[in-house]
Amino acid sequence: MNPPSSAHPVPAIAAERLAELVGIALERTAFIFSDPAPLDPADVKVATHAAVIRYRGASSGTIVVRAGEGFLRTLAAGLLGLEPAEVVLDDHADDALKELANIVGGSVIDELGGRTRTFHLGLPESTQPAQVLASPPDTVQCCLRCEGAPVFIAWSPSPVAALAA
Amino acid sequence: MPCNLLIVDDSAILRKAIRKVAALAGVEGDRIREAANGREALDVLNREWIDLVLLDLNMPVMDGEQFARALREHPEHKDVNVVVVSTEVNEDRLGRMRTLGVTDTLRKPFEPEDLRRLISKTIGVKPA
Repeated sequence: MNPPSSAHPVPAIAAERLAELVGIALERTAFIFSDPAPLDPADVKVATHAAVIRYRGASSGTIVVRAGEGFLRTLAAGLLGLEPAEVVLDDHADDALKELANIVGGSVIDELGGRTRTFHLGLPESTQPAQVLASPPDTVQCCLRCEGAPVFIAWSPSPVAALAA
Repeated sequence: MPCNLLIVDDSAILRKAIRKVAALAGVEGDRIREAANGREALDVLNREWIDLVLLDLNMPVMDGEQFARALREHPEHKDVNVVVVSTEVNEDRLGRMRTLGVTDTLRKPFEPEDLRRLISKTIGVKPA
């Protein structure tokens, strides 16, 4: 792990830019159009699924993606080219959210200079939303709504304490 | 032109999504194989003729780079086209993949049309 030095400070990603990266990922991968939405901590409680992905290298960090069944159904339907009603959520929810975390992780690394700086992106893991520990103070968070269903993304540009699986 | 395609990605839902795009690119469904990691991909290649591998890089068991290295050690697979489909952006790593025989790369998030065009270009199959 290479801690950032004063000569190479960790680039910042503002919440608006994080939301833009997620929006691009949703649009390109699953034909989902989304809008940034105010982040209401109370809304985060509706999330039934969560996925986490970590990266290390030039800097370390964590991305957590949380969503409820409404968004997950839309996401899986978009990926599979199905109508939302055709999606068997049990079969696809975790996998779809992990893949979104994977893509967002790659986009964050690209934003941090990953084309020329060395990062290693881990494998996405499913986790329970309630088991995600409180975020470090420097966490950047955003919320997007896709057809009214929210998805929450948190980027912590520092290692988050161990998350229970 | 018939094409045997192997999709290598640890995400089952993404393999299904890529399968749909491949069908739109003219690849027949019964000519598409899937593998969840590089080890499974090698097993497929040892059993069946594959024309094109769509390869993720970050996978458990055997990642994409390890798979590409293993492929180079088998002369019977030297004509297999390998295209990386990954979140990877690092120029050094992608350069290493090209020295290992990767012919093209497509970065996630990709638009399905980009993947369709790449498949068509690589294997010369006319889109359905």
